[in-house]
Amino acid sequence: MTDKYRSDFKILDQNLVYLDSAATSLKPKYVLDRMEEISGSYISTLSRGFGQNAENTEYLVNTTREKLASFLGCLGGSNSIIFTPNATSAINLVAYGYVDRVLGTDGSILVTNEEHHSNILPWMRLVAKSFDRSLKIADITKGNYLESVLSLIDDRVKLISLSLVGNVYGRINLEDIKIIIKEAHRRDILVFVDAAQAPLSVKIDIKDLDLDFLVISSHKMFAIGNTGVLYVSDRIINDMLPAIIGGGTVSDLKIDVTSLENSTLKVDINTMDKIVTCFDNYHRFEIGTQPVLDIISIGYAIDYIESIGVDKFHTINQENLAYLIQRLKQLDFVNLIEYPNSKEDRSLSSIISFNIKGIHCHDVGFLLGEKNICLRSGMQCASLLLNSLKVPGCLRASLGIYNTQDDIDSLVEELTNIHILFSKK
Amino acid sequence: MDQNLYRKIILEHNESAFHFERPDTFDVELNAQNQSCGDSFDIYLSIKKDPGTEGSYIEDIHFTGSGCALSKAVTSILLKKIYRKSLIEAKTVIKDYISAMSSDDNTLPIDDELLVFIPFRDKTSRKECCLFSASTILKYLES
Ligand SMILES: Cc1ncc(COP(=O)(O)O)c(C=O)c1O
Repeated sequence: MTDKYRSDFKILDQNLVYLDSAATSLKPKYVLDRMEEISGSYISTLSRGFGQNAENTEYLVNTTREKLASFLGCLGGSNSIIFTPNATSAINLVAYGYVDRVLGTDGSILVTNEEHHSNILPWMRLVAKSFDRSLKIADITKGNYLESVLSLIDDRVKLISLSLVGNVYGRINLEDIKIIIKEAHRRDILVFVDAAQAPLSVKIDIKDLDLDFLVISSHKMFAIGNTGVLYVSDRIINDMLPAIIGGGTVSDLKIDVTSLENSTLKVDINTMDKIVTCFDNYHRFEIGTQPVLDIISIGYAIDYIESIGVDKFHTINQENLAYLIQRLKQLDFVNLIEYPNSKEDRSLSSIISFNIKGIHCHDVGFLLGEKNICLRSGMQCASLLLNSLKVPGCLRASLGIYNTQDDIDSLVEELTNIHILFSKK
Repeated sequence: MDQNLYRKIILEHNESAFHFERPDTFDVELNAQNQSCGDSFDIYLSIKKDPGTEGSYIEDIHFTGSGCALSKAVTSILLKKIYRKSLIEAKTVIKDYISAMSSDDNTLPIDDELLVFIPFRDKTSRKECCLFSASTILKYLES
């Protein structure tokens, strides 16, 4: 185990045990320093200015898009990379801009019960629009991820949306998803991959996976801000309509107000398509003023990740997670919430969820927080999974490259104290 | 936050909460939910007319459900405080508690036993644990 990278994170100079990287990662000095350098000088909005500042801003944003395309192994190049306010917005964009039409009156969407609310609610609302549409939910809690998804595929399924790494089990579903994609594409079913938890555990290769859609969440991988990054295949992107529309997405509005009868514009969806020409590719989806600094920081975050290598992140996290799980298993008052076949070590990422028997997770989370040990407590935006497991909430510890065995020992020691505190009669 | 304070709350009320059971009969059933985490208590009241005065009083009160130690302790103490009180008195107890929890003014009136929750009003993550059952009861008493 190494603490080589710990000094890259200034915030850890304080007495902080940070075990909440699945919520958001700490930000490395490298990214923060670059942002401080540029924020004083280079800032402009996009596509509207001339001069050196505008050039520099444009250059940095374009470079970030290219870095992302290469980081994700993206087939269509940077044209397929769309910046969105967060990962959740990206899922909604795809739902309303494309999947709504593909579903027709009676199509189905297939997800699993480990999906984050953000990968369920937009689809739920979409199927609620028509009586014969439906949402199929595979129960993976028996440890049969692949079979449970494959067995629900039928001719009505038009989209399968799965998380590459679940945010409660933390299992890497990559190998199963590869098989599911092959089967889906054989049947002309679209596949959306929610990779919000994945970029530091899996070397994502969209080319290899042959995906239709993928989303990541930049703040979970060292960027500042919350920008979501959506990949849409070049087979689809220019058929996808902007679900939210406004400035920056169209080239011209072909309307001459002086020639309108009674100054009244009559439009229906067909004439609207004629008078409004959306830009191609990512442009049509990036509405309004973009969070330029947040976007640029993603480029620096990728520099940082690539200077170490995703493999290295994965190795360090897996090693630390194995130690954490081993320590937690020694505590007879802890219930682990693990994917049933967790013996397949390859599939471990950086997350473990658990409860202390007989104590509400918020009581534990709060008391840990008072000792500056940060982790997440509650439903984890994954109530389908926790309801299936009949667990009313849980604690989730998630690791980053900056964590050490000492962090894990502190957590275990404090959990033991809390258990004693609650069991004193 | 002093762990002993937490311990005190837990000892007295989490482990042996006041009237923590579903009664056979009741007049009103309230459901109090903490939207932010899903904790939920059902509160059962029996209301009687007070022959001596014009008003009504809480003849009996119980609760069931699940929540963190803090929310259970708050609910338990509040129920104990308003048990057998007139609806008007009960409203004052709950209102005073909510006001004290929602302000940083230390001079506001609050029942001694409820003082223990004051430190949580500065903890954004726990304030709602202390308030959601009180708000539900108040809404009923004001209706
Ligand atoms: C698996 C998963 N999907 C989606 C999201 C939502 O991401 P965002 O908050 O960027 O919208 C999260 C965030 O925690 C997540 O863990």
